[in-house]
Amino acid sequence: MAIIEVNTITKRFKTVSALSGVSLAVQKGVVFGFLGPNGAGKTTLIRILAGLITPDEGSFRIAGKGNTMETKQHVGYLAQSPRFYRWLTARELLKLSGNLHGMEARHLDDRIDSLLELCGIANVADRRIGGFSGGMRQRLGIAQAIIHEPDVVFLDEPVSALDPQGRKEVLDLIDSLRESTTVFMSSHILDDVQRVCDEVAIIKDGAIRIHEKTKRLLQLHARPVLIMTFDSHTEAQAASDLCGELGIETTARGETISMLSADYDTNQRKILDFVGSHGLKLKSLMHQEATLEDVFMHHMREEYHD
Amino acid sequence: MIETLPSLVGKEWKESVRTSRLLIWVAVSLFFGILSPLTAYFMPDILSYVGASQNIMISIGTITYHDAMEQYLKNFTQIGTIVIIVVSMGCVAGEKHDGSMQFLLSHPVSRTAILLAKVGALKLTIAIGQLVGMFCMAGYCLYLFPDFPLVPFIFSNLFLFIYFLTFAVITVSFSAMVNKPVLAAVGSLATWLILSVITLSDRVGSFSIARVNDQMMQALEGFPINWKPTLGALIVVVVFSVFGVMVFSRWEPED
Repeated sequence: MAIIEVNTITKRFKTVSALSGVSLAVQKGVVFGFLGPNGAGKTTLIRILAGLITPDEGSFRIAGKGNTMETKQHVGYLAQSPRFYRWLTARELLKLSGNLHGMEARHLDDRIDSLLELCGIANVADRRIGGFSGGMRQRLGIAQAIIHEPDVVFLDEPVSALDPQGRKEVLDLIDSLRESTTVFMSSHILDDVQRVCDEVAIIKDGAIRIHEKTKRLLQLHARPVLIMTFDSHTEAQAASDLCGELGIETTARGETISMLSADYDTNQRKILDFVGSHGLKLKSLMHQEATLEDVFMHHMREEYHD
Repeated sequence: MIETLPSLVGKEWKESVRTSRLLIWVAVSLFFGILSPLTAYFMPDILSYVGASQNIMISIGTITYHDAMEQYLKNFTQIGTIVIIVVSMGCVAGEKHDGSMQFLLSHPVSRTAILLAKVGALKLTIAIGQLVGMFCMAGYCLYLFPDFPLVPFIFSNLFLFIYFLTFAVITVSFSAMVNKPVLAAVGSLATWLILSVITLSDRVGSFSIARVNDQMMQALEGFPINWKPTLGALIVVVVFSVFGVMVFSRWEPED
């Protein structure tokens, strides 16, 4: 049974259509990745499901309950750039959050201690939030979102303000939540989504374009990529320009260019002839496994060309 | 709504203490509580000193507790109202503006409860500050003017409390309707001006809360009290509260 059911939700902000008939179902116990470019409607849908804003049309159910105050008892929410009361300490904020969820005082104190430890902010538990860095606020935000052990937790860009070490720790934490909680997270960091998410949906212009299990999505849509590394940025750019003339789409980054392996295979002779005739120094030629980023970028390009 | 109210009031009270709202209000109340009776009592000395330096003689009648009370009312109602507006203008709009309101709204908490808690904590803040000011004023008056009527004075402060509370509710309501604290302050100041101008009207002037001075003097002298300003304050509080809740219920966070 789906723990999150979204039925043709539409939301407009003045003249801008943020969501147009979004439908979605997320099963219990999964980590769900919600992807899309800026302004696609990710945050709007998450805010609707967290009960912060109301849809213009459509409905949703979480843990079998509609859009009521009671639903919030089953939901945890972390905002994209979490802002808390600067004059409270981390421990006090968690206590306030637990009290507002009606948690028992004795259980709450134990839960606060364990969450402070789990989220890596035990050492600053009694410091005022005003002095916290973005990363510390994000960790605190995750702690307050799961303090009442919700059925579903909505995390809007949960690792965006974290350093690599912090990202790894938070992703491990998210990974461990799947046993008790359904996680619905949006992110721009596609590697992270690929690492922890069981299912992925891509939203663009307010509509869901793809919704698949992550593994299946990679099987269906991802195509291996070939990466060519040259001696200099100028040479890489020259090779990229030639590929453009041949109708091959490439992505140039510094001294490397990447293209779909299939495109390379078809035009291999022409590309290598060009490289040889212009004296370009090709340092390496490497095939890379498909990633979620490739699927995402490919899909965005297709949408653009359409 | 009832279950979450104590936690919300606790949070607001903590904010009032930690952001120095309480301290500022107590300091202002203390200032007028001490200064009003002293200024009134020493006014003849001050004037004779000023007059002597200019080679003129200024003569004024006997100073009584009435003069102290007039000073207290005039200064405290004016500066006090401005301070109330300043300390409460950001209580909702500030949280909407800086994004911390999203934290509260993601919890099972009604928006009416949020506003009630804010007014509740402000009520407590106003009461504490006013009590401090009132006791200082009473202490000095009893010392300087032995015929000072203590009990009627304490009773008269109830009207001042209603007056301040009315402006706190007006400011919180404006704060709930707009996204920037400064706009809430402008709305409250404009309302204050309108309510003051209304006192000039023959038909509805007697209902204006700006007539609080008359009420306090009536209470102090033991005259029958005109309750119309209190009724007017109640109407203003109800109207602003309803509008505040209605607009805040439709508010949605923006980026």
